[in-house]
Amino acid sequence: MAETTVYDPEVGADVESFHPTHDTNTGISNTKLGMWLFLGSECLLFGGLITTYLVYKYPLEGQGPGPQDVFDIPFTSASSFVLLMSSLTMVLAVSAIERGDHHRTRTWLGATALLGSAFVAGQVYEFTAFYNEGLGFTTSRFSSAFYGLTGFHGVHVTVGIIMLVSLLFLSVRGKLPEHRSETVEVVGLYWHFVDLVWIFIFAVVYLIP
Amino acid sequence: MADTATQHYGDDAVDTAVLDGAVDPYPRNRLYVQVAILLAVLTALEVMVHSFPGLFGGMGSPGYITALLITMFVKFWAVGYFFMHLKWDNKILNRVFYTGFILAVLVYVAIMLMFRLFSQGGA
Repeated sequence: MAETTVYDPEVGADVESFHPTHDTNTGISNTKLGMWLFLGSECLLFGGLITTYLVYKYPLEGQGPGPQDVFDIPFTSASSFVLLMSSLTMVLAVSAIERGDHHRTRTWLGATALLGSAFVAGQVYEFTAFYNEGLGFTTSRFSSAFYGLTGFHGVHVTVGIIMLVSLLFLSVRGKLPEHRSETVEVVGLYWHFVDLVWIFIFAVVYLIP
Repeated sequence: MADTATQHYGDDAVDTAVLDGAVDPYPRNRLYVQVAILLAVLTALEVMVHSFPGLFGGMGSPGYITALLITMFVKFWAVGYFFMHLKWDNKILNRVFYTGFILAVLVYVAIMLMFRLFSQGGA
């Protein structure tokens, strides 16, 4: 990293920059830029999956239940709320590690992992209920598109939980000092993105007929 | 460094010198909680729209869909802008992310054109 100066109009002179920059062309660390590039590419993945779902959302005649026959909106709304609140606990974990407050960092990381687990558990319950209602993965084009989209999202949440638990263990073992807070921030970016995708899925898949 | 943060956000300011690429001090936790409350309210609003579609012109009507799309995009913006720090981070990161997002929307439009408009036109 390198210290830089910037012009401050209030002072009327160059002052020391609030944020040191990395010795890269962009001034952004490669890790963070890499995560943002990855998230940009993930937009395309989920864009394709959501579009596929919208094209195939209505099953053909005699191909089993349709979306409005199986969706349980109150239950999914509760799951959505849980995932949204996990974004809050995640950003509080990032804030805590920046302050060097390791106790709160662990608390918020653990809370995020728990909320994420509750969301995944809800998804497993939902899938089981749909299966019992006769909606298997290959029942119809709707079921394949639905399970493909929400299943991919569930896998992303699960990967996020694994990363959060790994951070938690690192922190407990004293291997996550505040000068490595960017690690927590980058995992946080991934977690918030998963939340962003669910915001789309909840509205487009579940609520809009 | 910490003094600069204190000038901007008071005693509760966060020293974010370790965060790379950020061009402004990061906000306080209170703002995060306020954003979370906004998200919860918007989610409740979405459920209300779905539960009482008659208030918005009926299930699947333009009013109903518009209401849901607006709440969805406000939630999307709030998470990206505040929780993912796009508001404060280097603008390059905004461009990287929104490029992917816009490409995804273009994929959606392209496929919809192929499957809906073209086939209907052909029929």
